Amino acid sequence: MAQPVRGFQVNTILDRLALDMLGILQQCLVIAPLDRDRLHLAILLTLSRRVYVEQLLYRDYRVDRDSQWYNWTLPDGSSARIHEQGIVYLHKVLARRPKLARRLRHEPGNMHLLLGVLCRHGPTEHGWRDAEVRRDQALEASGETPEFLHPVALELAAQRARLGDDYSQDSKRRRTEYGPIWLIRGDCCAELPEEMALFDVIEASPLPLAAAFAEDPEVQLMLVRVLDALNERYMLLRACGLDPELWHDRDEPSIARLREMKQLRRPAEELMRLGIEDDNVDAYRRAFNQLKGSAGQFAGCPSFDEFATTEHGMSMLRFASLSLDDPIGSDDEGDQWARHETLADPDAPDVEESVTRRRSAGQWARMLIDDRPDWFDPLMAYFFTEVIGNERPIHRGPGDRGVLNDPEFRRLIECYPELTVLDEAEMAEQLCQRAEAIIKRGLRRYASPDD
Amino acid sequence: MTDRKLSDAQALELWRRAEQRLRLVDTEPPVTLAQVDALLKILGPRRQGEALGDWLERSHTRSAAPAERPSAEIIPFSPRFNPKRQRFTAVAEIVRLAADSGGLGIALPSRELETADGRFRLKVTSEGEELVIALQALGLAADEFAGRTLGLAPAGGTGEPIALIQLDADGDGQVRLPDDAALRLVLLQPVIGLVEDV
Repeated sequence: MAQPVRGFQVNTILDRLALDMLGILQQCLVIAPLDRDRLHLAILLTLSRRVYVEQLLYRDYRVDRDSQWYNWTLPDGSSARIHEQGIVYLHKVLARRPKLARRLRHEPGNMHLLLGVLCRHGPTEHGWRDAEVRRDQALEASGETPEFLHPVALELAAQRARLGDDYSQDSKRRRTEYGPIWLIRGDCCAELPEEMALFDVIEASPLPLAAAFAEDPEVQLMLVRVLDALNERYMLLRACGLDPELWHDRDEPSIARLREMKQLRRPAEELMRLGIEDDNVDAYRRAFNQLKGSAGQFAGCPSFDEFATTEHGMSMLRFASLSLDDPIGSDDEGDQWARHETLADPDAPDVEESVTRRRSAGQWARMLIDDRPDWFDPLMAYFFTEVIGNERPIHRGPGDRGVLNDPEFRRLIECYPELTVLDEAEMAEQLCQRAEAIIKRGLRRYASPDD
Repeated sequence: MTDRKLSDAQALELWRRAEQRLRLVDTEPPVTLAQVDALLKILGPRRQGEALGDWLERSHTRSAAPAERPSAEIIPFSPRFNPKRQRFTAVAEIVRLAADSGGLGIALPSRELETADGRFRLKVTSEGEELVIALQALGLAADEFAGRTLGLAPAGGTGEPIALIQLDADGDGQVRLPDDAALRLVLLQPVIGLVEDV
């Protein structure tokens, strides 16, 4: 079947979140007016899914896992639950108002650009298709057509009033030099706040948007860039074992320092795993000294003893000792977290290139199947190609009906009565377990080819 | 079929890639609006400026029934501010609408008051000869001021608070004070500030 077009590849848990966020926005932004409670709850319920609790959210080892949930029984007898760390994530990460990237000149930030591409999917009868966002010295606010004024222009005015001049000096300089950032639609134009949060963008969008907006690769790419930028500090804190609720809003440790701190983990865990060190602090000491080398300092400290007595150093070591039974060395996507560390990266690949690359991505999975055809029955070959190789969702999502709803998959599954009796979530779990068994076999074979 | 034979190193790299991809596969069906709406019905609408945690906490019981406040709740009397040992730093101010101060005497606020920056909400209720003053830190301020002591002082006055309120872990607190003209005057334009030991 034709592959869904996506403005990004699902390589990290954050890409996964971007995909789910698209699905949520697709449901919430095609109705006017915006129901904020609904939007926030949908995000919280999504963040509370296992894949995010395990791979995205901070795990506090000091508290029992079960105590971190809000649980409800719904009228139909099913249950709903929200993880406390999901609230922290929404609050600290998704609702954050990022500063503009320093490298930008006249370009608006990605939040502004996201609003621009969302606006293009506003009601077509009002000419939103040609909306644009740019800095301009000469423009003035104009246009009093009701559907532009309310809620878009008035919402933007309210946001500007709330922001006041509480934004970065860089933005102020750029505003002076290149003019304010404008949302322009025909002869209407309204000034955007210099710095916007994701929820500001959502609130200012001209609803209802056309449902196809979530399938627009430009919207998709802009959303994933925005999430990347919002997420960076949280993910570094998580990797270093520093509770984002306590540390996210502090200036120190800086992003650069956190990146260095994060480097300590892998070698320290490896030293412990290999039995070279059997004490956690000693492992971190050795890793620190190796990474510091002859440099004057590492992670902002001239010695490990000094690092270990800083508040963040102590927290990191405490976390490392608590999490020993659950090594988190597997979250190697951390190296890619900062892919778009600055907003509106002018060097980022364009949308077309990204989509084209994605379309060819499934080939590598086919190579594995062809390499070991005896390991794959027809059902697993299909599942592996589509879900693992082509990154398609198992269930229905933006622009994709989901692999479970493919006619080809439905035809193949008929030969597996043990699977057809399961509900879709259980079936998906079963198929993933089978895929995992095949992958482990491949890893064992090629990691130790003589076995 | 692809016609390319993989080397062991290439195959290992691709199996690792497959392993990484599998970790990102979500087996649970996506959240539906029907689920969201069912939960929303239990939670009720979120109040203006209410922290997410407070909103969820309101209905977070096994039976999903709204949690009731204890009927015989003990509201502490405001302790006295000690200028020698304590410092008061203003952090927000509430300016009431003119309509609120109309009429004979100094009326109590007829509704909950919020600071212009949306960080605090103040509610005053009269109970016999006393006033119960409830202060809530909202949103980010809830994190910032949870567990700390805040004071209410008159605008442009001596800077000394006449009501001290200890906020709990959720950023909420309340105190009871004798209802008199001086207190009502403070409540016309209260300055909210942080009280710290020096």
